[in-house]
Amino acid sequence: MRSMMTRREFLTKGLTIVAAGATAPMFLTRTALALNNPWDQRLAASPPGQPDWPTLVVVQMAGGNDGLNTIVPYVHDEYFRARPRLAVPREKVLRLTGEVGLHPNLQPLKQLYDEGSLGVVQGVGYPNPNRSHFRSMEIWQTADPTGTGPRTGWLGRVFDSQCPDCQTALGITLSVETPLAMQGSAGGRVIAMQDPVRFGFHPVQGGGPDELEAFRQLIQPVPGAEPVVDFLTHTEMNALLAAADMHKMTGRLVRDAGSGYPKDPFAQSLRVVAELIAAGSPTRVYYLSLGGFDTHATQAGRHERLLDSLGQGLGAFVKDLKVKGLLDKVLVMTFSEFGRRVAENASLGTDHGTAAPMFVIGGAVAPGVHGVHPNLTDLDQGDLKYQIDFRSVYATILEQWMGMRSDPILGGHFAPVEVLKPRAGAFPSRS
Amino acid sequence: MAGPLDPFVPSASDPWDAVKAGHLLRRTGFGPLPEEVAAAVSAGPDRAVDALFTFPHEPAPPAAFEEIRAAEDRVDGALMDLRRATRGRINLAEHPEIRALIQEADKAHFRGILALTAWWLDRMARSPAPLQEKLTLFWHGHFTSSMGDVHDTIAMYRQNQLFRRFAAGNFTRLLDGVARDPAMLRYLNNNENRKGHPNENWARELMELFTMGIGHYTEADVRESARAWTGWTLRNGGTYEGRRTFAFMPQIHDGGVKTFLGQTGAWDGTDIMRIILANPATPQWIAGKLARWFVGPQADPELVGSLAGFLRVNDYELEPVLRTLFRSRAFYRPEVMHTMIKSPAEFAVGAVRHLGIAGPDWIRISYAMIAMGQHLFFPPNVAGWRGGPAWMNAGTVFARTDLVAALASGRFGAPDLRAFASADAAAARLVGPLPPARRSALARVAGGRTAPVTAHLVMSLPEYQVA
Repeated sequence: MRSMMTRREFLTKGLTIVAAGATAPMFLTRTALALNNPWDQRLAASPPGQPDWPTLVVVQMAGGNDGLNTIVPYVHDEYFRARPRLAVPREKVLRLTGEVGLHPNLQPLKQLYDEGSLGVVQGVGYPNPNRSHFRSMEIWQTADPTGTGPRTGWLGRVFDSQCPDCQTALGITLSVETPLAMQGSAGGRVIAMQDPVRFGFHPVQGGGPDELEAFRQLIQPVPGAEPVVDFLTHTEMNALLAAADMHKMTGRLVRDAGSGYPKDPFAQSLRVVAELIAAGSPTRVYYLSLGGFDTHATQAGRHERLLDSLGQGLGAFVKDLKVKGLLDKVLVMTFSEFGRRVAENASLGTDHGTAAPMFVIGGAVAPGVHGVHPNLTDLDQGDLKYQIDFRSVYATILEQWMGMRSDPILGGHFAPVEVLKPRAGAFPSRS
Repeated sequence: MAGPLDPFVPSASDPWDAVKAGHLLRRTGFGPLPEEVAAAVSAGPDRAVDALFTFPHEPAPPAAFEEIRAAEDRVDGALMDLRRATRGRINLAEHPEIRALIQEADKAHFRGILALTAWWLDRMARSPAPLQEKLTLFWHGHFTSSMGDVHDTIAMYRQNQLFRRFAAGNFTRLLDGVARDPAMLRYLNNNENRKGHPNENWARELMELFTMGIGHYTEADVRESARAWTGWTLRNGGTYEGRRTFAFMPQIHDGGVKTFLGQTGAWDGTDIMRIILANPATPQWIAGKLARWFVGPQADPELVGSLAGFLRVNDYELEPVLRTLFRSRAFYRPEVMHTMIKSPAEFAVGAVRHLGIAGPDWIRISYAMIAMGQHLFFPPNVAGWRGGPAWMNAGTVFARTDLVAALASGRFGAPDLRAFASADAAAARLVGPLPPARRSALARVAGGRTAPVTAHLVMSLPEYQVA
């Protein structure tokens, strides 16, 4: 029997400490402000089962996905010449247009394409591409190729701008680590967790439920703590807040074990996301990562398995959302830190490259293949030249899906790409 | 002239005491016990630091490896028979009996990697030289290889032993060992790097992560280096042991002229390492990583610069550099203490030691560490674990509190909870200084509770998460 305190109770008790002394820690002051923030109130008070704002699901394909074997330019002989052993045979390509098609293992995505809920953006990248995994991933996650801006993520800045004082979990990442993309100037608004039911503080065997209250009192911010201890205090306290929120919701959570999701961790994480959205989670951004795309050697089998996971997982997810009547509320975006070299190497693999395609999936998507495929003969050191800046895709999602100005988030103006149906999102004016 | 590496000299006003000795043992080990700290205090700083570097001989490998070898031999034997019988290519789809043998070998590797993980965690907890294990963990996060790509427990074990052997040895020799290490050759695919269309994986990460750091070389250097490394591979075919042995194969090596970091010649891998080691960016990068590992976020550029200089004049010998660091005034500055967030290995092994767990179930403890973000032998990517604040978020907080709950209630081995009769005394034993408000909160809420609850609360404190 758990006696998880509600978020409101937690906040109210916290406030008594604020009132007690002039040395109120920063965190509690913020919490007090949050109580009066309408955005936060709206999130905390959302009716069950009815998310009234658009939700974004970001899928990171970690390691550098081979874009050319994902969206295959099957009409171009240069593709087959550069990849005598790795090219996807022309007759196996799932054709989308007269020029490009999907890898045969992406059949579920082909189906979404035919149903009108899949968009492809071709040749996405950025100027002066960096071929380091870590630097390029940082560029995608901060949306700052120069590395001179603040070290925050583009989604973190969304949270900063929309709800600077919110303590609600605006983002959930289904991983052990919070991605840089979601890190804003304040902590505590993103939860990293894999199992919403198990998530929380569990008393020791025989300890009794009041151990939770003892723990809550022990991790109140205290004056005079070292900065790192202060950070840990807030992290532990935010964890308790998040668990209280999550616990409220797990009451409404319908575990959806048998609905056709594959057993692999990626698909199972998507299942959890669908369950949370259906339970009316106030979370607006979900983040998942599928790793292993760094295919320098014997690429074929491995890349095929990964695309299979990607396609099967996303296919099941969309089907599930459709059954739940939520497909119009959810937008999925995939990305990878870079594509791979046009020519295969001698170990049946491909080395780090540049531009690659992105998928955009959902009821609001303008289906089709957008943009121009990079020229396979006009290369830069053996790599494709990007056609669309990734920040244009971000701008489109921010403005047309999340309903906010993109310039302040991205630090400049980027022309949107027409991957969403006109006037699909209207976040601020919707409620 | 005063420098950041000047030795700490005890005095009446600034003595060698339990605060400093505790700091030394926390940073160089895994959750020291008060008795060990007391021994280091009475030994004095010189002997306390000497004692850290008395490394034992190589430990015996986990017993599970015999099973792996036997399973691999069965696969080899069956394949050889078949090859003899068919005199040609083998299509495994037609041979379910061989596929079953391969699956058995995979399972043996899986059991083996669990046994290896338990073996290593046990060494962290009980080795007479915890610094050797702490450095082994450092190199595992630096020269990363993952079982997820290597698929070979014995290769992972040998790499682990290489790190242990050169833990505080010579970086030049360690690097040379890594360049020929079968697990690394497989992890970064240099075993498949051949002339014509070289594979750049190892060549790139060697510079970006292992030696120089980004920004000190060009894309052209990556490509030229990859050419030089062609032919550094593993032996072809043969027995299990044979396939896991380094070989240089001249027939797939690109013997042509390369220009690397401004130097032109018919370079091979040895030359590339020589050029990299002579580049000032390398000692700087290694010193920076060691400083962050042992000193923490307070390691300033001046300290790193001095360490780098020391590393250079000592021809990359690590032990004298580390000794100097652990004897330095800078290491014992109050602002350095209690600033490092414990890694899951430090947290879990330390908790087992502090709770006096008899016969700990290391395999289940290692599962808890995965939830905390550290899966030993499976680093998240080639850059290893980020560490610091990245260890902590809502999910990993509860993974830590859950592990302590399991340990304190005896689910992973029998605890000795005598030290947890009072929360105040337990905190004084095991946790750094508590701010007054925390101390009074602890007295208020933890009084009169059972020993397991007391242990759970004390070890869930924010102050217990730092070393």
